[in-house]
Amino acid sequence: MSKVEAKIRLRKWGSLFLVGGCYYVAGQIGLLFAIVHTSITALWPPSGIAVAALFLLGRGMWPGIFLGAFTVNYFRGTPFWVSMGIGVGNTLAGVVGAGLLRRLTDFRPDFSRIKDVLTFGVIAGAIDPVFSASIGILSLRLGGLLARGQAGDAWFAWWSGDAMGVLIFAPLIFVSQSVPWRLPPLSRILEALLMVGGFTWLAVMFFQANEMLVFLVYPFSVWAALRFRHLGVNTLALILTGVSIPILILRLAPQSHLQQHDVLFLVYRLQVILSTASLTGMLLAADITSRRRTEDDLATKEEQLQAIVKHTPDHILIQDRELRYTYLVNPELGFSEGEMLGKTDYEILAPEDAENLTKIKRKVMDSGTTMHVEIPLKTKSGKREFFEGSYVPRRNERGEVNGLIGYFRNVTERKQAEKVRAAWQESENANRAKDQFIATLSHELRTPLTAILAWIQLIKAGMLDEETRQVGISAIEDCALTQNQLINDLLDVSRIVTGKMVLKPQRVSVHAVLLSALDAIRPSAEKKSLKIVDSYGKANLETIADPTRLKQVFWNLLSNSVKFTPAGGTITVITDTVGASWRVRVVDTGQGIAKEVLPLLFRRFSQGDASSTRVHGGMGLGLSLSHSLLELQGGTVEAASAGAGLGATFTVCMPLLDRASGGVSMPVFSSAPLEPAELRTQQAALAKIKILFVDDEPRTCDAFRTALSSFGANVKVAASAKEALDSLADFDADILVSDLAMPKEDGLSLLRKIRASGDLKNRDLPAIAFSAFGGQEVGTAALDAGFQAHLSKPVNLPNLVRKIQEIAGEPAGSPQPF
Amino acid sequence: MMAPEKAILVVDDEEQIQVVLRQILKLDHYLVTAAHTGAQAMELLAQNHDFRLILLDLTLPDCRGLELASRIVEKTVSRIPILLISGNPELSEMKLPPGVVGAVGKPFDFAELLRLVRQSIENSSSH
Repeated sequence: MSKVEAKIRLRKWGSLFLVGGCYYVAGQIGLLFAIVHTSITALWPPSGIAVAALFLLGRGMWPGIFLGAFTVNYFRGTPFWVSMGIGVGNTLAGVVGAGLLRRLTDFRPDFSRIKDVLTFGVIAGAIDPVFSASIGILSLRLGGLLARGQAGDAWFAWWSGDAMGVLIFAPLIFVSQSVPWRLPPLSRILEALLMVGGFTWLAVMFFQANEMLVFLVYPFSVWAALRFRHLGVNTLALILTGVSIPILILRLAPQSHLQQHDVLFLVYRLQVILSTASLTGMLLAADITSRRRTEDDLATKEEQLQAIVKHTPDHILIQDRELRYTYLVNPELGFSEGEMLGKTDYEILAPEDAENLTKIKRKVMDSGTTMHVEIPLKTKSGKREFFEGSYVPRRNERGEVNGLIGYFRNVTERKQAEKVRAAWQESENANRAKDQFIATLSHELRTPLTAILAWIQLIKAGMLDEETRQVGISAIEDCALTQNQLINDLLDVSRIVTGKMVLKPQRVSVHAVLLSALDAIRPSAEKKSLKIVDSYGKANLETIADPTRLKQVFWNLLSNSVKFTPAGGTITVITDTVGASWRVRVVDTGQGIAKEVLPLLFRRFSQGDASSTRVHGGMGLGLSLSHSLLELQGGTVEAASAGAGLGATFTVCMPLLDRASGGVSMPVFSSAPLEPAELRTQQAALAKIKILFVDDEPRTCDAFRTALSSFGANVKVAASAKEALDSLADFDADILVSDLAMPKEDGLSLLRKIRASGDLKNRDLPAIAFSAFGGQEVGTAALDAGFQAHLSKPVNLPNLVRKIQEIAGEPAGSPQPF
Repeated sequence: MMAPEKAILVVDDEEQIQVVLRQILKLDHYLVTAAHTGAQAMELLAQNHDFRLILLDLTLPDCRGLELASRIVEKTVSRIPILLISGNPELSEMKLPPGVVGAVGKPFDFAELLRLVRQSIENSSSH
């Protein structure tokens, strides 16, 4: 047997004997209060000890209980078998009581909840003594110690005495288990002594006089419950019992003339008083304990919450149903807590910020769902900062939304870092595009040069016959011309990029220009035995364009087809009209264009894709140049192909001359320098920006729609102020670009209407005006009407793009970009 | 001495280069077949023209010259020597794929080109 096992065993036996001993002593005391029969008492303390011991130390304590119960009766002269019976009954009562408390309920022996008191009262107080009383009375009867007529009274007296023992003694043992055994402060000891002393004196005084005065114990009961909880209440109950029962028994003893009935009546009455007092005190103490515990829990939670709130770097806010701030942690935007509490966003923030936030917050409260938001807000000093966080609806006990909670973090620095990174990435891409441009260009320049040099070597070496030499000389001429063309194209590209391309638009016949281009291309087509079919409609189509540049566009497309169509192929040129535009299609039977290459064809080597070198290899700058030249004149060019080997179709489209406007041509655009930074981003300079364009002249509308769309913008055109107002209802415009002079209703009136409208988004719609009659006055009038900028016709396209970039995305009235 | 005509495949998308290369190679009586794209070159090789050499431009519209060289080596059983034509002066320092026997820079010297062609064909037939 190990030491530990020995120790455990010793402890168990020690406990057994201790329990048995206590039971025996308590039993000796209890028998002092015998009524009806020497074995039946008004108070049986051992029953409380039994339940407590069996519950706290386990079922294994039963032999101690049995031993105590047996001996206390046997040594008092009760016959052996009767003592055995009583022992069994008392043991069984304790085992059943403790077992039920342990198994059937979640009873807690600290009586911290009201249900603990009630459970205990029913199981230990009422049920448990049924066993001891029944078996005990049966034993007495079998032993011939009790007359039949007495059995009923005896049973009830036994039951109530045992119940009293349980109610008074077991709780005291239970709660003393859960009381921390350290010395309380002196004041508390004094208070306890005062209470116990005063109560004992009172109890002795009154019970000697009249036990009905027991109600005077209630103030003490409340005192005990409030200040000392269960320990106090149960101590007082013990004192009250310890005083009242002996007094009653002593008072009854000399009066032997009293009928048994009268005696029992007095005893029962006292028992009812005692148990009521005891249970009432316990319930009071339990209620106070559970309340105090709830308070402690709340305090702990509050403490945790405060600790979290104190150390969080985030901004937390609570707002009521009317969106007034009621609670703030780490107030942001430069406002103090005092400046925000009790106020709404409208009273603190910039109007447009308040507007936006309120819209979001109302949505959160109306829908009852959490929303994650990322939002720029203006600080007190007018700086723009970025916030990221959530609004969570707040609800009352009935589940109705009565406000919201917001958690936010200032992400301005992160946003700025992202911006820097994006800018860096952009410049990286631009660098790569430049490298590729140079690589492509050197390839393009070197190819004819290589041929020229080789031919010259051959001719110089004198190894060629006359015929071959002539072939060589024309080849040299061709190559030199190719190179010349390339250099011219390069210069044109440079002019467009730097804004120095000057167009001389005039009224021209589309077919006349096309014919001159066809004449120019014919020799090289014939050289490759290519057939050119020119299918031309009857109408004489006229347009406004620079004839030289338009011819250059046609020539580029034709020369491209000649180059990529194998000998014997056909090039078909078809001219027709589509709506208010004319269209020229160049269809060849050449090698075609792969699908993935199509979108790259007209780009000026600006995409970061490595394939561009290959796409443009051998193609020169003609296509991208044509694209730019048309763009400047309000036209478009597109390429289509069913795939490699299946030929290609290039389509040029441009507005027809508007006869209604009397053919007076006014250049729509002028070219001006593009910043280098814009050059690289211009393809997507206006990506995703929604523009509402208003002009009564369809040609201008078409030209601007084409031009602005080419920068990635989503353009909707309106021919009048009324149409514009209608469009705004379903077109979620980011910016308005409007002509000032329009019949019926002019641009100034249009914007005034928009600014005065109830539509919150459009009320602040950014707007740019343009007009043919420049001058200071018009500009001022436009700005007064609410336009952010005014441009005069002809509109400088890059300038317009730059202005749109600048102004769109900034709500009106806040000219400072983030 | 008149050597028998030997077939050479020239793969280059630039007409101007094609024409002059044909003239240069004609000086040594080579028979030139021209391909403008990688796809055409593969097709011609599949038709079994008994080419003795391939002159391959590195910048083609439909594929990279080096990729094509590797594909040719994979597809053709008889090892046809490949000479690269490139404007990239760094090429001579790059690791050339197997089957590529040399590179001609642009602009090229016709005498040097012919020497390289002759040497490449002789080397391959002596194996």
